[in-house]
Amino acid sequence: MATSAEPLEGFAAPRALRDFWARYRRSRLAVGGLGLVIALVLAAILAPVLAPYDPISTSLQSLRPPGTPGHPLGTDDLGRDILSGAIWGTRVSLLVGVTAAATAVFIGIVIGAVAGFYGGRTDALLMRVTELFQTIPRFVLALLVVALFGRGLGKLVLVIGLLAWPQAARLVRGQFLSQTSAAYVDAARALGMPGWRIIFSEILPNVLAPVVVLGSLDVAQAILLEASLGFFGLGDPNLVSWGGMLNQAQAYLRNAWWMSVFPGLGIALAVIGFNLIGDGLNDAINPRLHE
Amino acid sequence: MSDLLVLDHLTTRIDTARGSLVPVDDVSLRVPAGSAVGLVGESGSGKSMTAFSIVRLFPTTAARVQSGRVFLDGQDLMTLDEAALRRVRGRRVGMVFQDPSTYLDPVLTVGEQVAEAWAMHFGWEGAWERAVEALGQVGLPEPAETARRFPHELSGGMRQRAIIAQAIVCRPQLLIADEPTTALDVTIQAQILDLLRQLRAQMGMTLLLITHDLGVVAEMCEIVAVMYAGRIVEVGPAQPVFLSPRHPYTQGLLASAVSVQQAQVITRVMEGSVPDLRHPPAGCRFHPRCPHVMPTCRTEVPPMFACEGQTAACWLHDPAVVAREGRP
Repeated sequence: MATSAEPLEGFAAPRALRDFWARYRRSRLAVGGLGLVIALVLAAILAPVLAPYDPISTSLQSLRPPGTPGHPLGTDDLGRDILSGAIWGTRVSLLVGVTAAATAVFIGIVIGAVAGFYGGRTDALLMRVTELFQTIPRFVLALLVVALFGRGLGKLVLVIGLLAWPQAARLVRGQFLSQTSAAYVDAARALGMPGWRIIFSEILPNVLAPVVVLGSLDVAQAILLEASLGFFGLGDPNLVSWGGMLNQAQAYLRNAWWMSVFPGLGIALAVIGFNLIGDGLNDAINPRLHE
Repeated sequence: MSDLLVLDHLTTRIDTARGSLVPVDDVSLRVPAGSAVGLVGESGSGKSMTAFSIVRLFPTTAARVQSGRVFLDGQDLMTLDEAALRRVRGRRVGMVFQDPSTYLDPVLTVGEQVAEAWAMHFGWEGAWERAVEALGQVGLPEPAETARRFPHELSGGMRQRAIIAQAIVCRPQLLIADEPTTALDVTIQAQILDLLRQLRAQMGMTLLLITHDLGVVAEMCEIVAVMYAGRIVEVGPAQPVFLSPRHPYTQGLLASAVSVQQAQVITRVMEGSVPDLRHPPAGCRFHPRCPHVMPTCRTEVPPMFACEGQTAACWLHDPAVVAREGRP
């Protein structure tokens, strides 16, 4: 779509966006979710400013409970500040969540669109591959990949993305199947448009709404998966993440609850935030609710 | 006058699970440059499939052109591959379809869609300006404003104008209009027909009009071709065909048109219906319904017989057959 990406005069995005926002705003929960995510994004961006300490610097003040002067959320077994860790952890979670979901949605769109548009054998083949991927237990494969290829943020994103695309592919395929027989597709063919162009510039905008919804739910899923891997000690060892903090906290569940509660709260807030956004988007762009 | 479009023994078949059918069977037709040709027939007579066959744009992948040639301005379209054919579609052959409510993409503005039709062949530079110009040409008020609207914000007549703008934005040599007014109410129909006539005159465009409405053909076209069950049964200049049809099917068709005479509406209906194209009757396909049927009609496919300016595929025009078998 490189050619159509230039901002051309008269193309109607701004008004559509305004209408969309008006519909989104109707749900308080959706607005709350958006607020939550914006707060997390700000925390991630401003981490160096917001965090009172370097999250990896140790001190002699270990296992202090919340409310300790200078450490409002307490410290862990190595004397690291929990609040600083929780703030820095936002970065990893959001980064992994968003990029992994974007990867999944991108792969899903391409495969689903091609399958739904061309149909026949192409469709059958691609859908069997999709089903194959769906049968793989996500978490087990993630564990396997990390165990085989080592830990690292990039690998994590790739693994989560590669595991999450089938859902998007099935959704996009279904949407394309119903759109490919639409008359405007015939009209586009009559204008001499090649298949890829009909897929991306004619049909895709029609089916994007549910994909965006799925994408935001995928972000929540990816955050959860990343945290789970971190909990099992398979996160990137060089970065502070909520999952990694939970991993540390395992040994102290009985005597230092604050080590697990605050990173866990971060995960919960992020997941809830993206899920609320997903629901809000669904209500706002669901074509059946239009007009 | 040279011919812009020539269909030469064109045959298109559709293979379905329940057998194959031939909706376009050995169709030959000449469309002189600058003329308006009407292709008339009942539903299922193959007139739309004939139009789709010209640029091989079929509603189903099961359809394919089996034999025959299509020449556009001397170029044989059957030798072109898909990519070359795409450069013909839209640019040299514009198409207007029946139902204006569904032929526009609901999520793109009208201007975007017309601009894209242009950009497809000439690039995005100046596409928007060209789109606005085309929307003006088809008589939409305030084209710059209308271009920013979505299809659902326009009335049926305006949408059909927008579709026509999309079809003519590249100034095609040939405009194929498939039932362009069927889905519209009568006053809008007249406006759209006026518009097509006017665009033809302005742009020197050749028009192939596909319709079941004889009135529309009489009003718009110089030449008329009548199709029945996948074959052309009669071709000729519009006026003589309407005044003295040479094929019994055309005669029946004209007789069954509603005529209002002396405040009396007379409706006559032709007996029978279009045959199932999977099992077409042998010989002349019209013979089961023909009032003048002769033994030869049941077994032999009639060739086109010239009768003055017209040609008709009917054995009645073969003196030998009539002398042998015809009723006194």
